[in-house]
Amino acid sequence: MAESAKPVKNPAAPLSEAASRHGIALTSEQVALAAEWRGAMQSAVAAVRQMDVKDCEPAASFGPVPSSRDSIGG
Amino acid sequence: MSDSKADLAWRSIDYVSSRIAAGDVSPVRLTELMLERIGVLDGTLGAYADVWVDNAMLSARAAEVEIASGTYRGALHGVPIALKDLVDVEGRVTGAGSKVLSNNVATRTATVAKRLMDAGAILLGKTNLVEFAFGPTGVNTHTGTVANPWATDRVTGGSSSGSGSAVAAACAFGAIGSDTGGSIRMPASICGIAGLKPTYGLVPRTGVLDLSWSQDHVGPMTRRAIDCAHFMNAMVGPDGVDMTVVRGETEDFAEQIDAGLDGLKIGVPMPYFFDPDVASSEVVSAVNDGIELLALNGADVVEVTGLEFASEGRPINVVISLAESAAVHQETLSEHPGDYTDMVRSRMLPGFEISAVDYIHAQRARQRFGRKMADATAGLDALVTPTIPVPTPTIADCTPADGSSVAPSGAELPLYTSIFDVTGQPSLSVNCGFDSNGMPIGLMVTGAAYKDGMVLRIGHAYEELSGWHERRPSIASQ
Repeated sequence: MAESAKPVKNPAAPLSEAASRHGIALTSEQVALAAEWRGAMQSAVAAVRQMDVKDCEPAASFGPVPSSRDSIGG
Repeated sequence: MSDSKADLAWRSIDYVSSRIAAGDVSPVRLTELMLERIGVLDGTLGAYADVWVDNAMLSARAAEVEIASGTYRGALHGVPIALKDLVDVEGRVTGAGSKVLSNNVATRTATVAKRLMDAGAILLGKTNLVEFAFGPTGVNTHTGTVANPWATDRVTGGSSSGSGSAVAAACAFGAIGSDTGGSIRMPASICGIAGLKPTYGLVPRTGVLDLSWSQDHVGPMTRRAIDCAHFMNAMVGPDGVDMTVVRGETEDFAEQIDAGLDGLKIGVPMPYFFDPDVASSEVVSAVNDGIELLALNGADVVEVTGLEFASEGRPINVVISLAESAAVHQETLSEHPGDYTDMVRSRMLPGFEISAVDYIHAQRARQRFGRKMADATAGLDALVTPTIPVPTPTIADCTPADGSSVAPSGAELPLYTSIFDVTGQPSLSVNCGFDSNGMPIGLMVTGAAYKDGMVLRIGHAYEELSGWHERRPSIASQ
């Protein structure tokens, strides 16, 4: 079963666990508040996963995205 | 020609610098004037996090003596400006609009601050911002939400909220901002001033607090586009530390600024940027009037098709921003989670759930996005669009209710600006009119990478033709 299809009893649990893995201990109230923003993150990730990245290397933080050097008039 | 005290405060850097160079205007007088205005207005605006009265006056006197002795360093010499409070100046607090860093005394001076000081600029102090520069509206419940001089119950835009407000109220001739999703151009648009997000990799970020390494840009905010050019001339080029700044030779950004619009091909991308389901009719109408003005004065304006893919830019920007900011803040969040505002901590935390694979996928999609932008805009000198799709919301509408971290308004603000943080192209906002609430509307000019001078040239030509920059907010008009 794909991870996204697993039943999740507490939708905020992955957020709390991810924070905990990175040494961040949160109160239940802090988890609940952050859970309000999970949807925005999940939507953005889902949209990016749909994008075709064939033949694309990661854009690195060295100068502008290479192909944009030639954009609008070069 | 003699300027009244009030008029002098509203002049451009381009103008006052010529008067300073000629010995007609004193840097001491200019600095006293700015400090006096800050004293009168900043209690209402809250634009400044820290004002350096003694240091500013000391620098102004030194500049005056140096200029009188025949050494004139250039257009910023003796001109009072401000820094966003995420720019380090050794011995001063870099608070970043946060409780976490409220006692963070910088042990170095940022490259941009040093270069501006070397150019003779007078540093008035640090401007307030959204906590850790992480938010588009300007709301900050820890260090205070900066008021917009055009209507104090409306947001300034963020995250460079204090820089936008201070410049719009003539409490500085210019200020430094930073832009990861639009944080220079959004407050520039909403406060009715000019703000340039330079080409990524042109201005060193050394000594400027990180938010998202691969998308952070440092740039100027001024009342005129030509003044951004003067800032850029002092700020660009490698510093040997920021390895993203690789281009040694740069243009004189002011040299071609008066070259006008003749022969320039300007694209108007109707899909996405003028989508009636997103962009308000008031905003579109003002921007269309601006485009018509450009066309009537020599620009070859063409409609650009094939930019429907622009909607992919915002999700890419969000995924990269969330993943990188989580990495930036992991240590401080683990030590002080309760010292972050609910709003910013809550927005950051989902970033810890983004996998390495998804982050890298976003960086790969970013490269594809840049290629598609290049194909769709080939042969153009610039794109012209709205800066922000919607009218300026109120502070109340951008403030979450008790028990929530999400505000009713504000999420739409970066929809257009963030596209060019993804591509790294230079992008400028200039004022193009006012909405029915009397709030400024921004027109965004975006060019090819390293063609920052072209973007400023078009923005300057538009300002000269439209005259919108001459309006002053009533609260600060004296």
